[in-house]
Amino acid sequence: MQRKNDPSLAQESSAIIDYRIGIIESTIETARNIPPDRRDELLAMVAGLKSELTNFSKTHHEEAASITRFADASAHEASRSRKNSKLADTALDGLRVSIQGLEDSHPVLVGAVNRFATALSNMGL
Amino acid sequence: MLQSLQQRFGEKLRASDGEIGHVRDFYFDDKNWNIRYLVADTGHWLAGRLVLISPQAFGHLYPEGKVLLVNLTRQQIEDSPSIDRHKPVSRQHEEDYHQYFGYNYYAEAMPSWGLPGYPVIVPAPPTMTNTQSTDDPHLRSAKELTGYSVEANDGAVGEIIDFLIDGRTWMIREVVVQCGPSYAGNKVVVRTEKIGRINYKLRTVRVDSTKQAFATASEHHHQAHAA
Repeated sequence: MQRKNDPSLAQESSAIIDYRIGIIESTIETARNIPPDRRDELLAMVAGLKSELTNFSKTHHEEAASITRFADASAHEASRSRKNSKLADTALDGLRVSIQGLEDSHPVLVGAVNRFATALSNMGL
Repeated sequence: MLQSLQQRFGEKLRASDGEIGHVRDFYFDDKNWNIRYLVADTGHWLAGRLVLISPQAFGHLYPEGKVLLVNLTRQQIEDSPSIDRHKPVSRQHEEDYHQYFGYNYYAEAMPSWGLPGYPVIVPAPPTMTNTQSTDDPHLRSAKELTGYSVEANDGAVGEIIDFLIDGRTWMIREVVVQCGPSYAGNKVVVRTEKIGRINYKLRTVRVDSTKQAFATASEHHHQAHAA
């Protein structure tokens, strides 16, 4: 059972998000198949996503972790030199599923995730 | 005319003898929605120290301009009590602050600042700057509240994205809610008197209204109200 509102868990969750978002940023920065202008755009989106996820994780640790992990997986699949479309679709589907049910309670977070997913999709995922 | 508080974040602050930093946050009383302090980030000047400044040091909050003028000197700002950004703001700290600057201590009987013009207040000499305190459960951060989920009587409708303040009285009059797709993704304003319980643990705000009211409210342009 999730220990809601546990400060230590919130801190731990925030640290995990920081870590994983750092990986996403690194993935995007080092990807050879992302043009510079698109890279900047993606990094700006990731910064917004990080801010939203950090706040969200204060009350929804597990959900925030799921979103972050699928965002990481999606970015990884998008940046691979040899893409596996099935894996890419699976990762993006997971990302979209991870925000289902949050549309009305956290529309800003959902919007940030959707923009990120769409940007990755437009890269040819 | 109501002004966006969100647009004030990052605005430069200038004391009577020079710049002192920028606007980091606003603290308000969640009982009457009065702004109690502006939180100034002193940046490079005082190594990023955060300082609380009372609205009494500003007078009216004018909508135009990219610089907010503070009726204090840099030395007064430098000698003022700072805050620990990770701890709740306390009434004890507030007492220290008012004692330092020689302002009237905030009281519940004072519903708003009601400033007729710029106040002429001679700051008192510093007497104490301790930071030991008890928590004030009603002094809250606007930045912190941004992103809280908004719940109508029958379910979630969106989240807080901004506050609309009366610059004359420094009172928050309305809250801007970004609604979810069930409500066409509209931004809807809610009057603060319609806001009930603010749950800081769950990061939710209860509004005495219905999902239907949000669904039929038009896009925010300072006139559309869901509640």
